[in-house]
Amino acid sequence: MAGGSAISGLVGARVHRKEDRTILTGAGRYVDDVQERGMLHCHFLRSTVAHARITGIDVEAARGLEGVVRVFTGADMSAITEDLNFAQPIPGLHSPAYPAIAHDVVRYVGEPVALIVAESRYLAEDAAALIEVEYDLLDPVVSTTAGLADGAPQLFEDVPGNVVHADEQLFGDIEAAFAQADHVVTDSLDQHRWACNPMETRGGVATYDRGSGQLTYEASTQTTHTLRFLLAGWIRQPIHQLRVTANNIGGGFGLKFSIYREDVALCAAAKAIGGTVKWIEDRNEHLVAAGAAREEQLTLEAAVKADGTLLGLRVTMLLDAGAYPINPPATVYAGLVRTTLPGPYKLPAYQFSHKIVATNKASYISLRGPWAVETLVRERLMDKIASTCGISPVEVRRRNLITLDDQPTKMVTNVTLECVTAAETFEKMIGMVDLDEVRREQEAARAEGRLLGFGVGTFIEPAPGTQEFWAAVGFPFGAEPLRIRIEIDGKVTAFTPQTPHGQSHETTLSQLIGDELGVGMDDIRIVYGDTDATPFSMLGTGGSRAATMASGAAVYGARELRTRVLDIASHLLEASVDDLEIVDGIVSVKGAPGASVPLGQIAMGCWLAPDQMPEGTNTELEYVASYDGEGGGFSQASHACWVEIDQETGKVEVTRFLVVEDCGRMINPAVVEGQVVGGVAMGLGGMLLEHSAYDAEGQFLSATFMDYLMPSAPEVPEVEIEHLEFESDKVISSRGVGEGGTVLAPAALLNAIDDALAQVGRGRVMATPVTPTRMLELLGVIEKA
Amino acid sequence: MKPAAFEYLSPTSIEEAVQALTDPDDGDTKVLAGGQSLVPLLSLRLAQPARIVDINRIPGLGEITESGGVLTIGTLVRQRSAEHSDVVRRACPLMAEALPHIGHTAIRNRGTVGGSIAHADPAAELPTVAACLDAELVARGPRGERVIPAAEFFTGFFTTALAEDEILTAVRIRSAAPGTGAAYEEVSRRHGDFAMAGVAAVVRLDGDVVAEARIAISGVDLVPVRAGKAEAALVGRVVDEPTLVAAAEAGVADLHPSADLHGSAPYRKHLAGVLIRKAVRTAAQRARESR
Repeated sequence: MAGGSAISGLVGARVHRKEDRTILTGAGRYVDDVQERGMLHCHFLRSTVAHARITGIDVEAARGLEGVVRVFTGADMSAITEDLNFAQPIPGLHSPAYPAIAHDVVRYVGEPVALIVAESRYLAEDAAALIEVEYDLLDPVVSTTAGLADGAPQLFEDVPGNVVHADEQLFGDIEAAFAQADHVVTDSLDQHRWACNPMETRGGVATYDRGSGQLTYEASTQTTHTLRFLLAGWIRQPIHQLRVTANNIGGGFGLKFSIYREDVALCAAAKAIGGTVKWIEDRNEHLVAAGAAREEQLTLEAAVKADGTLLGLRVTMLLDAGAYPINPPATVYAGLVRTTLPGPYKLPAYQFSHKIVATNKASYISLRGPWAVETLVRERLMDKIASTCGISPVEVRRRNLITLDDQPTKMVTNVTLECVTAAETFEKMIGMVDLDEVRREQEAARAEGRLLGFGVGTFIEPAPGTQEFWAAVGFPFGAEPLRIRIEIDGKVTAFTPQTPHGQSHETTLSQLIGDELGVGMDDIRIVYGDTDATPFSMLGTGGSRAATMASGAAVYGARELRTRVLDIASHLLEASVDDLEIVDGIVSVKGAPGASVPLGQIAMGCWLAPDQMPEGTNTELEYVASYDGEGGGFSQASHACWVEIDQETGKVEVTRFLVVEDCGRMINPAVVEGQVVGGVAMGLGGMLLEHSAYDAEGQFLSATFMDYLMPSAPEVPEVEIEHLEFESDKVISSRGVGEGGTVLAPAALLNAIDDALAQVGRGRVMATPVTPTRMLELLGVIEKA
Repeated sequence: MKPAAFEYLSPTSIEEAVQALTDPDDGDTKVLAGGQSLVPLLSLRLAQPARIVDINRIPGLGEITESGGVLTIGTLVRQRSAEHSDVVRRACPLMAEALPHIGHTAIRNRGTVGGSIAHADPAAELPTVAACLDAELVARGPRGERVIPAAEFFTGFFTTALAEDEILTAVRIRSAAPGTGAAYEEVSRRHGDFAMAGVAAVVRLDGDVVAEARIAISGVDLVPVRAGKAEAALVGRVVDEPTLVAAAEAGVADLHPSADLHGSAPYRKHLAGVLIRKAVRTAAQRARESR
């Protein structure tokens, strides 16, 4: 870190995670660990059909079951709640409001149609079985093309033609680019729907205190403040009487960035009943109803010169939004794809159009790098350009990548790139791979009847991105606050609006604060997940912001308190501030350890007898810092993937995976590597195994872990990681790294598979997931069913 | 995912267990052994029996014995125990080969040999082994004990010849003859998943010529399928590549597998052929090595 920070060696070290002892010893507090006196249990009855008008619902038998406290139909719930409305003043956005529990039309399998509150979850599920719902079936829309077809069934009156949003944007002179082209290279990809699947599903415990009128919602959420802010209006609860908390969170991956109708129904039920209710989503309903991601179809058309130089790019995207909008609006996803797609390449002209289509499926949600399809299609296109121009995948990238020497420069999407090292990570990676040897191995394998493939890719990610970037996307890029306090005994408490759910913020923020204030890891506590305690932020943990934004707030906050402490100490020790240091909670004069005063002694004075502290000093040892990101920035990486394809069984084995990443200064390399490995595993699993599948009637086909296949240890290769730690001259040069693995790994994998297919004269992968069946179809071994 | 209410009985003798199945005679009772299939079905409410008869406390159902050239595996023998049994490895190498393909270690620690066979999942390993080896399934009911040949045991998708008041008590398999080799091959999406198709093969050689071949296929029909035509294509022949190809073609010719998310019908049919070749090749190799 540049900018004169006081390093004592925690930042940059593989410090053990503070979180692990709690979690690994089973002492964590997840939603389903919560047990309150008199707590009631909730279960949602869900639609069994994809699209239908509800013509009747009979809940009398359920209400009469012993142990059932309340049954809420859609009408009952709508009487005590407002519809969820995520509409924003975005031109052309059709964002229908919808009730917490459906009462007129159901639009996906899994949509809540009743909420049962009972003395146990068993009883609640028994009661659900007694509810009779009459459905008048409507034709379902199960794909974007079906939704856009003439005469297609309309999901919402206020979404004409099922088009949630459509837009086209032009950057540069696209006509000229194609007029100059030696080749026009076209490509397309149909990406399937896959899901976040955190270990802990959605859920929460809502408690209404009849005495104070206060409602507390302990939720599994990535963003407590947004949840509180939106919830308050929808459950008609004054916001100052609403507290949202989060303790341990068993993963989110983007899913828990939104607020869901179940949150609204649960809190409204607690208020109506005047007690505590708990709902934890079971895996079956999670897979069916929580929402899924990534279902996009893209077509690309590239104008290139004979030497492979990119001149222009036309892209269209259809995004299958599912039925109901969530937060953020779907335009943000489209904006992210559009803005990021040119990536770290020189691209003079660009045209991007999209249509976001409503279908009878669960909502399209955020998933770890929600824009990832841009990297997937771009990196595949680069390989296709290479083969068209007769150059290697490495050469085509070298000829088009923006290097550090080219910067600062502007992306065609009007985003300034500075300190972007995608090209440098790529060169470092290529330097680690003997490409000739890769080809020799492939030839030798083919001689034995084996088929090997090798693929590469590179990218940048907005982690956290820049002001310009988010302006281009159409999403705010807010500053990040952090409240920090030196306690009366010199220990430190910091309050962050981040809601860490695997990102190790308790560890990394403690490292940063520890170095600044000269206190040990164990003397720092990071408080998160409590709207009564933490400063406000709309964003919580998401969008790879924390490494830059929360770090900056922590560093600035700690520095401010350090300045105040040293000022006081300089009076007490009669030494210049510049001659002081804080080590292990002792302020002393450098080189004269005898002249010292414990931090705890200064703190006690400040808190108990501020008027007796040296005159003119600031004795306030609590401070709210805000960090604007100093313009923000990007992370980058390059991946290389080796596969072996079994031509008899169609199974794809990833035999080696190499990552060269650059997230700037690493706060904790172990945390960085954990994120990279997890991200790569998720990306590979998404391409090869995971599938939130629907049939032609909109029935959901992947409702258990026997059908929704998560990658397990034997399916995940060892990921080799090399770091390129480029540091900018900003105070905080750490960048996010949680999403990139999932964004780029699919591209390297599909490029490797396509490389293998090309060796045996077969065509490329055009749709995912790459199941053994699809693989053998591509290889021409079996006919397409 | 909470089961509906049921009555739970835990008899300590087989007579008591049979009585529990017989009375009341409403056919709404399920036997609980290792619970690795039944409990998820209960949790998903796909099975909502009125009564569960837990047979785990009945003594004498967990023995592995070999006598008179017959291997007998008690119904409650845990799959993990069978996997580690020297007796099973010697007398029924096919089962020893098949067992590690079942789920994961934790599943095999609880899952039982008899439970898997009685559950009759056509993609599962042990029903396929039973079909391949013409195992005898010993059942106990109110009218006493009867022995059901494997060929008559598997009657349909998750259904067997067991009457509703009968309990599978043991599996009997003729001990492997000298000069026999066995192999079990399967392909699943992930390690531990149910197979998209699997093949059990046993080959007995007389010199270099196949004297006896037994092949059964999982995952391609409502029940495990004996590949009689493939077996016939092998007997009297030397196991070389053309013979293997011919056997595989014969073995899959009559298959009409159904499709699901994990494999299309053409895929499963193709895969069965690939696995017949692999399994028979390996079994023949082992038969040669055993001499």
